[in-house]
Amino acid sequence: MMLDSETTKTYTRPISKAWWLRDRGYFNRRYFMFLLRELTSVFVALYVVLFIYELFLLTKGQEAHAAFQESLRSGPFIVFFLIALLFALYHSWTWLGLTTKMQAAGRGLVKIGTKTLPPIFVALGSYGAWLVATCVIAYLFLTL
Amino acid sequence: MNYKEHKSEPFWWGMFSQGGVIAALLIPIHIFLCGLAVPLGLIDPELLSYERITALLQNPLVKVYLCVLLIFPLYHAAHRIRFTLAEIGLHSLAKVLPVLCYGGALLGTAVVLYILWVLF
Repeated sequence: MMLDSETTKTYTRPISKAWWLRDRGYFNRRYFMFLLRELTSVFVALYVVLFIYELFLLTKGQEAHAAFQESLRSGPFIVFFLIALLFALYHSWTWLGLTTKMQAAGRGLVKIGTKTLPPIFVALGSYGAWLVATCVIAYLFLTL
Repeated sequence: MNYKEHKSEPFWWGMFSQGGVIAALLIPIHIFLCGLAVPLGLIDPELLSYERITALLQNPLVKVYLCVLLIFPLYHAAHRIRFTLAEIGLHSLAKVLPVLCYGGALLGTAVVLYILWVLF
């Protein structure tokens, strides 16, 4: 965006830094859920960094790996993974749900002939893909 | 926001989008299996044993899969964190945040590639 308030003298309403908690004296659920949605990315990043660290430990040998696996059984790690899982699920839910909005907007994503598929089917398709991916990974992880 | 769009901006948006899809489809089951199911003893801990994982990592397809799983979501997170930090009040850092966030993702990419293809 190229909004130059210096030259155009546009009035910008001062916004409190805690706008997502309290906007003009009120709690706005939409703002709060928006920030929670953005916050999911922090947990995704933390999980990925932890995963990379575990890969690194594997290169350090069996003992380093086993010691870290043991510490993953501790309470704080379990709580972290539980919270990270909830945020990851919220990310999946909101991100895949976006396909509904894309389908509803403009000419839509998926068409059959000249007809635009109703958004609900596109959502079912993307949530279905999530289910399939989840099952395939779980199957490979348990059986490979 | 008083910044001009850099010409690399579409690339970061694209990576954000790719990473969002990959994180949405793949991350929850990984967190559940490796972070909860094994540590809580719901499934056999041997599934994450040193021997099994190092054997799996001999397969190049597993390495490629891990690259996709780990690298794209880093860009996704970098992009969201960049904009969210600006939105919760760090407007003054609007010029530095992209460098820090995308730089972090690039560094993460290098580390993943190094671990998987040099150390293993």
